[in-house]
Amino acid sequence: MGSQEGHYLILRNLTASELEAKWPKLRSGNYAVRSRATGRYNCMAFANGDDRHWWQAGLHGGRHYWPPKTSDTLPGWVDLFIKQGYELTDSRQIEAGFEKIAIYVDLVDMLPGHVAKSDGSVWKSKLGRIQDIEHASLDLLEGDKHWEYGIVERILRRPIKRVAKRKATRKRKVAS
Amino acid sequence: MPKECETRYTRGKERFTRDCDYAYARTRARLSYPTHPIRRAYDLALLIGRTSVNRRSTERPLAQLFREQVDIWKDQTSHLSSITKAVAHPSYLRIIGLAKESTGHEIERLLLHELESEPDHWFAALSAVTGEDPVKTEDDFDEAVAAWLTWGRKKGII
Repeated sequence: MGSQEGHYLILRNLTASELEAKWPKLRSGNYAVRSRATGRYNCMAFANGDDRHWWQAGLHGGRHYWPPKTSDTLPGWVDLFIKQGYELTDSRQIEAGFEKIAIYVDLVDMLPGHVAKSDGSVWKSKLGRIQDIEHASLDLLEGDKHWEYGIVERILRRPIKRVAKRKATRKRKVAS
Repeated sequence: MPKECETRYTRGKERFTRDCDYAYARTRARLSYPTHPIRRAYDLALLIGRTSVNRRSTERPLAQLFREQVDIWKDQTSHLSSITKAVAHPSYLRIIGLAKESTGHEIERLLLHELESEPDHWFAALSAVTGEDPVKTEDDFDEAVAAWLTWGRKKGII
């Protein structure tokens, strides 16, 4: 069943040249592909640590999920992360010791269309129904050409939990 | 009429007809489900299927038309985080519209083979062209794919 299950996840991976054609600021060295293409989850799910559901407003259950009482607007998306302990910031830089969320707004309808997250060392994005990537900065996905996601309109951050840090330190000690 | 003018005239006519179909379908869809975006998109897809395909040329094989629209759809929507927007794309709707030109479950077969080889969000299209939905509410993405493929095998389509 495992291999059969895996089979269902696989979409065709976009090649580096295809990705760089769609997001013209991506160049070898400023990004790296980190997963296979899948339609199983989207950027909103990815930013919330979920790789089992497609987070879509108005749809619940099965392959979909959307947090209750959350509007599909920029304030709604911001509130969703604020409820998880994030707070708004102006800094677009990666900050060690902080998890960050960046919400991109589409330049056509001015609605939120993409979310990137940072774990304190790099920005990460799930690109629609294709791969996850790590990218050096937020502006690499900004713009209005091809598949670019518009502009980053809100950035939020929260300290990386010390508990998680302690656990990681303990694990390292045990391993050594 | 010179051949070039004739080609332009035919293309313009087809485009005009298609735009009218979309406009009509959009109006109807809004009336049916004013508050539910994804149901509105499905409804729109169904209406386009019903209203437009009778006028479409059937000179080219269905599989070729299908492949063209799949490629366009993927090329223009693979980056989107919204499935509602993706299934409302004209190519997705035209794929559903091809059902009227399909004989012997051809469009169902094409969709199921596409779902099997590159599992993507074809669930709305399959529901629209078959009028059925074998996917349970609680099924995840993999289970939804499996449910449709099982359905196709049971029906002898694939």
